[in-house]
Amino acid sequence: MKIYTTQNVLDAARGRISMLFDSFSDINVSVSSGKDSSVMYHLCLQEAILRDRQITVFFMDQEAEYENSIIIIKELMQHPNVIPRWYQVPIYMTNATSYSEFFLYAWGPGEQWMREKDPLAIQAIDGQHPTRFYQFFPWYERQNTDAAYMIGLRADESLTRYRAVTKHPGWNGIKWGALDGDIKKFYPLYDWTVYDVWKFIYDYDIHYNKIYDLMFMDGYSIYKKMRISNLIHEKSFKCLVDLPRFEPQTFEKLCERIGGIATAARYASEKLVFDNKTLPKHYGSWQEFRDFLMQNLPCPEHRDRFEKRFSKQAGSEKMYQAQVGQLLINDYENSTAFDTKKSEKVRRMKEKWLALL
Amino acid sequence: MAGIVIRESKIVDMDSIFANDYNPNRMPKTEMDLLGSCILKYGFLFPLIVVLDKKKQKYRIVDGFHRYEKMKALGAKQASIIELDLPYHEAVQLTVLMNRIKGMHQVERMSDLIVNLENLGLMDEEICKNLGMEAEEYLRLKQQLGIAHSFRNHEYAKAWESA
Repeated sequence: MKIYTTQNVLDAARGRISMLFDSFSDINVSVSSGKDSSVMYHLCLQEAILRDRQITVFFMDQEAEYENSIIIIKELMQHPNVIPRWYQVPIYMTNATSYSEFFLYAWGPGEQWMREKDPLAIQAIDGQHPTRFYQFFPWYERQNTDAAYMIGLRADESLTRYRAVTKHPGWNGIKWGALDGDIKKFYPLYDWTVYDVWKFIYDYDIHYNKIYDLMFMDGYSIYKKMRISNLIHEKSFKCLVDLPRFEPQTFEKLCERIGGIATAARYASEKLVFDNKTLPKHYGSWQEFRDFLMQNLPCPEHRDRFEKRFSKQAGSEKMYQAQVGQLLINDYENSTAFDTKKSEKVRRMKEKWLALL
Repeated sequence: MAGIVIRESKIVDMDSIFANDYNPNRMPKTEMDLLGSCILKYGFLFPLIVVLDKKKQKYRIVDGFHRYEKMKALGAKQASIIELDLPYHEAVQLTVLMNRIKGMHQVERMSDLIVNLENLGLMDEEICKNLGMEAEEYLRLKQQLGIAHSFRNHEYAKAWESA
């Protein structure tokens, strides 16, 4: 349940941040060039300037990024009150758009990168470090367990985010934080709405990612669809459809860099390819379609992983349909995991919450 | 320019043309309407690309199915064509090729273009109608102040705590 206070979200967030500055010498902000993390950054930076301190700013550069994102990142990293932690190190990205090139080996040695590395960035790491994207964050956080990790998550984005930012108490019993072992994470913007985010950006004349303006001009819903991430993420590669009209040069560089991009851009907005919403007319059932895809799409090594996983799952049409969805984006790693029982549970929980809120 | 053939078009009866049965391209109603007003205003600008079907002794459309349909609906008796002599499998592939080799509007340039038209003295409604745009689409392209500007009058929400 939400209990409203007399403060507005801006004053409240400033109070939360100030309290963390009192308690932690290292304030570490994760940025993505998106609007929420930009607000997080600027609130922390303002506090740092008041106190004549520095903040650490973390960005995991996945090479396949909008040019406009990099313009923002560069600006954020250059401030004298910022210690830049901009990583441009070799990392394997799953390429959700191609069956023949499984990964983008971002910043891989000897490969033709989409752009030059930046002098401000960390270009190599001494010693062992993870080469998979999802393992990199925890690795980075473990480097300094004394820091406060500031994350721009907001509860109004989705139910999972509402849970993430409110469920488990964090350091010192703080409800808008989380403890991951001895790593302390905080979500000082948890109660902000998308309106508050843009109002802050407007009021403080913050230079934000231009992709938002292009999305806005292009008729995107202001409240739902505007997400900025890297360009070949499993959950957001539909942004490729817009890329030729937003950043034609980035699109061309991406096409040269990895396979499958042009196909994804052409079909991601259409039915059948990459999408499991309607069963193609040549198949009698989702099971039939799934079996066809299993025979034809993945390489043998991936097929084994799909088979092993699917064999543990229920034999219902709904499940086959979900499996088709994974096969179509070559998600052999189960990044877009589904669990019909769980989703039913979440749906019921959502109803309960909506009744309460 | 050596080796590039420049094709002449010719005018034939609509009755001598027929649609192919494989074209995967679909045109939404809004664009079909625009096509109609465009033809009425400027005339039939792009000849249909056709091959002669020897059995039927009629021209089969390779490219221009929607232009052909619109002309029929408008009651046209004749249309211009460019005739090619191609085997069936090549005609099918050319259809797809013609659908694919079309450009896209860069969103940012489109916005500049709209502002430019307005500076030339055209009225909002006029531009919307001529370009087949809805008011919201037009306004979003026209206002170049950015998305944050739309939220300038918002008041910060009340903070809350979860209990």
